Amino acid sequence: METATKRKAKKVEPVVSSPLVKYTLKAIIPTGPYANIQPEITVEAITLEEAHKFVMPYIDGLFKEYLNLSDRVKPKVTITVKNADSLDIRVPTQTEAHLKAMTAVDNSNSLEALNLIADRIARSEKLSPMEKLDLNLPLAFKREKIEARIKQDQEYRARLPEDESIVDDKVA
Amino acid sequence: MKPVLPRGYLSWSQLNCWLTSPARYRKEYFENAGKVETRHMRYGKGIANLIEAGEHKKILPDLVLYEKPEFKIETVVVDIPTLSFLDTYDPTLNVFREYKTGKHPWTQQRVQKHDQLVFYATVLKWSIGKMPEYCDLDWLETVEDGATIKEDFWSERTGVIHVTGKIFSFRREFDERETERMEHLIIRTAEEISEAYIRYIDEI
Repeated sequence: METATKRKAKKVEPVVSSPLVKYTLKAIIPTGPYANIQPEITVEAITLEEAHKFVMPYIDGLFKEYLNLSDRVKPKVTITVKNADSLDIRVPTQTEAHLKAMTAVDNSNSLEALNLIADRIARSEKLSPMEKLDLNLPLAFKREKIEARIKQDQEYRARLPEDESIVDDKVA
Repeated sequence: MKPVLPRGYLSWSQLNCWLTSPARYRKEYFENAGKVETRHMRYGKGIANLIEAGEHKKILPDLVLYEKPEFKIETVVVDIPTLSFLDTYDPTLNVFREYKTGKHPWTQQRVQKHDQLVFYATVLKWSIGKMPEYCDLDWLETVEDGATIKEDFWSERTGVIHVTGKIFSFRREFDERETERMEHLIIRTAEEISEAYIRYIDEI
């Protein structure tokens, strides 16, 4: 059995190393108009060169991630030209307000109702500018359709003998 | 402010739908959910089409038709645009007839309470300046051969709906006070619909 007196303590040799240099790299990354982030990374290394090599990939990564971020998150607009006279502009995602506006436009059948919807779309805070733009086309189509129907009714009434039906001009 | 209506006018079916169920009106006229239609209603429409085309004589030889079938009336009642179609109209006497199918028998009391007839009398008053003295409601007796057999939850065999050829006519006379009541009802309903419609649009 080994006794405490027989046990020899191992002598730990002190490690002699060159003094470390402290290296701090600060970057200013613009994320959008009047906006930026300022990450700061500090490392300790033997040489400045070694520290710089270690830090730079992190800084590059941050640039890739955050540079002009606000520009990149804007919704993408797909424009498909079907033929010479029709243009299909779509917003990729449809919000509830956008869906409701589309339904209201589809179901309106009078100019008063359409004017009310158009006014509401213009004032809406739930719809994005892109969605408002997207709704212009169906609004214009619907207006054209209602105006054509009113014109057609007027022409029909003008052709009709007086006793065929009772149609009051004030309705149109 | 003039009421804003989704269709731009008020019809009897719109007025009745609003008074019966505003929620259903919202679905049908604001959201275009489609009208509720039973097979009895489809049958009624089929008969109306036969009458309009003049092909009803075999099954309904005694049906009285006036000079103008499916007579369209577009007029403004007080300040509310309306649209109506009378089943048949006699312009000389200024009277009309309304045809009804259905298994549930019509009675004089039921006819007196049926506001569709007062609605039509009111639109006639506003369009030609004279309220009709009366109208007739013709019930085209309808039966269903063979009772509906429900085999289980998922399948049921239904009977065949058809008119018997018997027609029960009920005369309904109008009073000026009734058309005045209807005018108030039309205005009130149009305003209620308009308010609900503006609220619906405000949700955008």
